[in-house]
Amino acid sequence: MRDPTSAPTLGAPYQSLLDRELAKLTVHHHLCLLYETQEEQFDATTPFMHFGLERGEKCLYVVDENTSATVLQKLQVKGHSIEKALRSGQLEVLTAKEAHLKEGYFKSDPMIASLENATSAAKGAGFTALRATGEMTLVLSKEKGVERLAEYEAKLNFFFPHHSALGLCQYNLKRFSAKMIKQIIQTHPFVIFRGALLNNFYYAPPMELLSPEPDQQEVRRMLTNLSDRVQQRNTQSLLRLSRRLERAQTYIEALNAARDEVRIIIGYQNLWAYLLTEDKRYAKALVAGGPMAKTVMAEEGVATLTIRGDRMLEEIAEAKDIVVVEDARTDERTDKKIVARMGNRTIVNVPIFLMEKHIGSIGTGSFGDEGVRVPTQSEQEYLSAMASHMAVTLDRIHLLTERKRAEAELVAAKESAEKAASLKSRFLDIAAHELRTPITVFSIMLELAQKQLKKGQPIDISTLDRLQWQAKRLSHLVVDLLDVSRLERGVVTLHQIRTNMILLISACLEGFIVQAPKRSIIFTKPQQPIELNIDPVRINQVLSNLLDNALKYTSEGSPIEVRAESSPDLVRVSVIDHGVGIKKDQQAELFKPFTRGSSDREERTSGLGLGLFVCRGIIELHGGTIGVVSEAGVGSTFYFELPRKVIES
Amino acid sequence: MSESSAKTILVVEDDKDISITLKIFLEGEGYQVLLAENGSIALDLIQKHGMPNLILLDMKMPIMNGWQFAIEFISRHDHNTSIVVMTAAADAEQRAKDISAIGWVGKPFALDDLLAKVKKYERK
Repeated sequence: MRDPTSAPTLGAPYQSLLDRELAKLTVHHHLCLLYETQEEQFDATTPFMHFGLERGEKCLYVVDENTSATVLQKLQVKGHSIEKALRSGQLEVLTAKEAHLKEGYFKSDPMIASLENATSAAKGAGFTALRATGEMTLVLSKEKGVERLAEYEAKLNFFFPHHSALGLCQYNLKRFSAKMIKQIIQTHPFVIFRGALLNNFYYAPPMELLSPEPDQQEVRRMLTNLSDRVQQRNTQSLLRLSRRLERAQTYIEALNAARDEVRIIIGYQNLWAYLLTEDKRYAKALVAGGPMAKTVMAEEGVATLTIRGDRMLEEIAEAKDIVVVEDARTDERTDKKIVARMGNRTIVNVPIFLMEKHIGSIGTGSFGDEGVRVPTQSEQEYLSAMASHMAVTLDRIHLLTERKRAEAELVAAKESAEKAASLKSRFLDIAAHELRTPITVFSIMLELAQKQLKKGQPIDISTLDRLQWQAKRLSHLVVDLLDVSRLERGVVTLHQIRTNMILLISACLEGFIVQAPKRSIIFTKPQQPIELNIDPVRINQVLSNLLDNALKYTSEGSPIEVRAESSPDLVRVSVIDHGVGIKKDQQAELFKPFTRGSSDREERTSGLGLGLFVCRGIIELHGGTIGVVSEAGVGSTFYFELPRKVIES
Repeated sequence: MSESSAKTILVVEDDKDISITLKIFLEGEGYQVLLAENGSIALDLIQKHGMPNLILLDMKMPIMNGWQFAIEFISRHDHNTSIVVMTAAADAEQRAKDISAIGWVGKPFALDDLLAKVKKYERK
C-alpha cells in the first residue's frame, strides 16, 4: 500500500490545475463543489475519487441528481480500472436511500453519526480513511429541517479535523437558493468553483456560526480575512516578481521588477539596492531610476561607494534586520547634504541574504512630497520576502556581469594586441622607408666617386664629410629605434647628476649654430644658473629633438627662440617657432609613436615620427611633462617641465 | 657643346647630398642641371628658365611636396614634360601613377640605372 500522505502520481488524464490541487488534498479536509453543469461536477468528483482509491481510502459517493450507473460510468476513466475497487468494497456508489439518509426530517446529528460510523467501518475494513462525496440536492427532497443545512455543514467542521475522513459536498448552484449558497460558502474552508480549488476567505469557523454572539465573532473573522487578503495580495505580487526576476538579465531589469511591485503593494515609488563586497569595504549601489539615479549614478545605474565613513552604509553593512529611518531629514544617521539633494523622507533598507550570507540590501522609501511614510509590519514582512526573492537573482546577475566584463576585457586585450602588432608592422615599413634615403646617398656618392676615380678625377674632401654626416644620420635613426623599443619595454634607466640647465642649453645651441649658421636662434635665460638633478645626455637629446623639429618645419628666415624659466617647483624649457602651427586635434597625437600630425605633414619631411615619443618617455622618466601650444599660422611652442628636486644654492 | 644645345634636367629634391651628387653626375653626362629643394622653388625655376626636358621629382619635401608640385605643374603647363618620380616608398610605381608621372626610380638606386631612365624619358 502506498504511503497515504504522499500525493498520488499524476497520470493521464489528470493534468489540469484542479487535478494537481486535488492530488494534494489529505484527510481532514472539508470542501464544497459549486457547479452549474454536469461536466464541471465530474471534472472535480472523478479525480477526487480516483486519488482516494490510489491511496487506499474507502471511497463513498452518494448520488441524488445522477444515477449510480452514470457515476460509475464517469468514474470508469481510461487507465483507471474501478472493477477491483467495487469488488473489494473500497468503492461504493449509493443512493441516499441506500445510505440510510432518506428520512423525512433533516437532522444534522444523525447524519454526522452515520458519517462517523462509516469512518469507523472503513478503518475496521483496513482502509486508511473515509473519502466521502455527496450530491447535496438529496436534502431538498426532505420535508422539513432543510433550513438547518448550514448547521450541519458547520458541525462537519468539528467532525473532519478529528476523524480520518475528508468530504466533498456537491452543490448545484441552479438548485439551491442564493441564501443557502451563501451559508454553504461560509461553512467550507475550501471551495471548488469553475475549475479552481480556492482557499476560502469567507469561511466562518463553526464556533462563530454556532455562537450565541455571532456578530462579535464575525467582526473578528472579517478582520482576519482582511489580513489574509493582504497576505494573498502579497503572495501574488511575489509570484509576479519571481516570474520577472527569472527573466532578468541586468541589475536594472531586476530592480525595475521589484520597484513595480513595491509601487503596487506599498506605494513607494523608488527602489535601489546595495551589493556589499566580500570585505564589506565597498557597496555597489544599483538604482532603478528616480532621484537617486540622477544624483549618484555614474553609468548604467551602477556606482561603487565606500562604506567606511557613511553611517547609513555602515549600518546597512552590519544590519541583520530591516533598518527603518522614519524621517531622513532629522535622523542622525543620514548625510543631510545628500538627503537635501535627493529629497529622502522615510528610508527602508532590507538586508539580503544568500545561503545565510549577508550580500547586501534592498532600499526603498518615500521622497519629498510623499512625506514620512513608515512601512507597516505586514509591509516590512513583504519587503523581507521580496529581498529573499531578489538574492538569487542579484547573485546570478552579478556572476553574469562579471563574466561579461571578463569577456570584454579579453576582447579589448586582443584588440590592443592586434593594434600593437599593426603599429609594429607599420613601424617596420616606416623604418625601412626612412633608411632608404641615407642609403641612397651612400650608394650614389660612392658610385660617383668610383666613376670619378676611374676617369682619373680627384674626389672632393667634402664628399667624404657628407658621407660621414649621412652615417651619423643613420646611426641616429638606429638609436631612436632602440630608444622606442627600450621605452616600450620600460628598461631605460636615467643617470641623473646635478646639472646646470643654462650650460646644457648653451652647449646644445652651439652645435646647432655650427650646423645651421644661417638660422637665427635666440636664447632667453634667467640671470642665475638653474641647477637640478637630471640625466644631461637624455635632456640634451630631448632639446636637440625639439630644436631639430623647429628648424625642419620652419623656413630659413624664421627665427627660433629657446626660453628657460625657473620657479621654486619647476624648470620650464620652451622652443618657440613661427612656423605653420599644428591643429588642435593633432597636437596630442604628436607624442604617440609613429605619428606626425597630418598625413600632409608626414609626407613633407623625413623622419620616423619617433622623436617626440622618445622625448615624452625621457621627460616622464624624470617625473616631468612635455607638451605643445600651437596656433595654425602663428607658430608652435614645444616645452618640457622638470620638477626641481634640487634647489639652486 | 653649347649651353643652349644641352638638355635641361630639373632635380626637385630636399636632400642636398642627393641633389648635388645627381648634379655632378648628370653634368658629367652632358646635361644642364637645375636644383630645387622643394616644389615651390621648382615652379619658380620653370617660370624663369623655361620648360626642362625632364623633371626628377622627390615626393617628401618641406614647403611644397611632390604631390602638390605635380598638381600645380599640371594645372599651369601643358603636360609635355616628363616627370620621373624618385621615392623611397615601398609602392613607388603606384606613387608615380598617382601623379601621372611617366616613370619612377626607387630609392636606393644606382646612377647608371637612373641615367638609363633619363635617356628613355627625356623630352627630345
